[in-house]
Amino acid sequence: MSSRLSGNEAVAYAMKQINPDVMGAFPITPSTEIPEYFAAYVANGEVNTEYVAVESEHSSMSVCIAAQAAGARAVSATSSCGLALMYELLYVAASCRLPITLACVNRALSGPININHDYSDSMGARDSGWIQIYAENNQEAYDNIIMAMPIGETPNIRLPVMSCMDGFITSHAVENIELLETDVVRKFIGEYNPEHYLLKKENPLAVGPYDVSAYYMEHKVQEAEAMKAAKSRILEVAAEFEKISGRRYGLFEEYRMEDAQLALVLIGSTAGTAKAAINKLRENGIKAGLVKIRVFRPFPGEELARALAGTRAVAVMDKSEGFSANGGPLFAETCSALYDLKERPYMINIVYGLGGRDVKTEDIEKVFGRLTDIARTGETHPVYTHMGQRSREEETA
Amino acid sequence: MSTVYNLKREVEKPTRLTGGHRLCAGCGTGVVVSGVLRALDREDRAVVVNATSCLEVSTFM
Repeated sequence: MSSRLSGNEAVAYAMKQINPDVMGAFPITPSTEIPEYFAAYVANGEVNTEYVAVESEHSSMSVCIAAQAAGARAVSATSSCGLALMYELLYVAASCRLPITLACVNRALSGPININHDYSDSMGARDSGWIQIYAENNQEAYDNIIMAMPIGETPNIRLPVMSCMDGFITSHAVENIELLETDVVRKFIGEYNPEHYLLKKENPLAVGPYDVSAYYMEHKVQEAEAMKAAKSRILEVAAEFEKISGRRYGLFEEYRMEDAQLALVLIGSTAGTAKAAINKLRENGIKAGLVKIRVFRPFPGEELARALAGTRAVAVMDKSEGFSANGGPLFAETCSALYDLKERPYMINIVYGLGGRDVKTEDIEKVFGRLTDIARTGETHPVYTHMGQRSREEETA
Repeated sequence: MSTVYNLKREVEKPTRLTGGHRLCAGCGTGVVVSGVLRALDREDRAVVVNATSCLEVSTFM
């Protein structure tokens, strides 16, 4: 069924088709529309969901944790400072092994306060134990929400899933989109029948109790094992999803990588811009390619190393500044993943687009221009730079 | 659940808070929690929720 929806409406519509038991949400730009649309579905009787209006994101995630612990399916949506206010609860949700689904509409995290897109919010939560899946466009945002529960609820995984899309660029732009029929979505999601839950009277249990040093580490290892297991489950669910949608997903998307010598690694909507630039460069005989990371947690390190093994030079483009003084988070992960390759490509890091700073096809072409030089000379210095800022003295891309 | 409070009946109920908690000697929390849990009747099932505190740390393990 074809439609035209904004990213936010597409996500809200997917949630409506899923018909979760509970939504706990608090408005924050640019994710506000998701609970807004959803509240209308509740008011119109189109879903059976218990919608809990709360006074903060700390509470919205607490509601989701309580509901999911009780044996229900819970969803939420947030952005930026809202995600930051959930921070403590993100860890509680993951360590209690509660497969909550959270739509994260990425927005720069203060300060200075800014409402536009970058990944500084969800990158800050990358070590919280949540599965993180990123969308390039509205279609992917819709599809990823539908795949979230079958991934997270798997018995050997039981981890919450953060389904991310770019604030405003994806959340507010209206695009053509293919929607699934609701009965197909419901069948795909299935019933939620957790093995353990608070309201199961035959089996009283404590959720989230104090964990002493003698046992704490065992539980964290189990959580780590679950995250490792998630990688194959994400691919299984993608294969099942392809059967009902015809759309194919992996841990990342490779674009014109089959013979690429120069490649970009990046996340989200910038992939569309990069693809356009790559098409133009390819017409001029430049063997350019792109790896668009879809799944950031678990990080597909081995697979990424294989995808980049044949390249000469790679630019990892981070749309968040990690303040490590050693490059952004995607760069750190990618370098780590490629370390064991016998022949590694030259690697640089371009931090770009912070706080919604625009990135154009010409910017991407400049990055490939620099990669061309690096492939020829082997000179990567400076490895870690920023692109697109007003002062261009330090800009080398 | 009876709505009329009767102290004698309440204190005759078996305590719901399992013995062996590790609250400090003399701490009033155990007494308070036992008292609150007496609001439940024998056949009641309940989910007890509390904020992170000594009570949480001292009564789960």
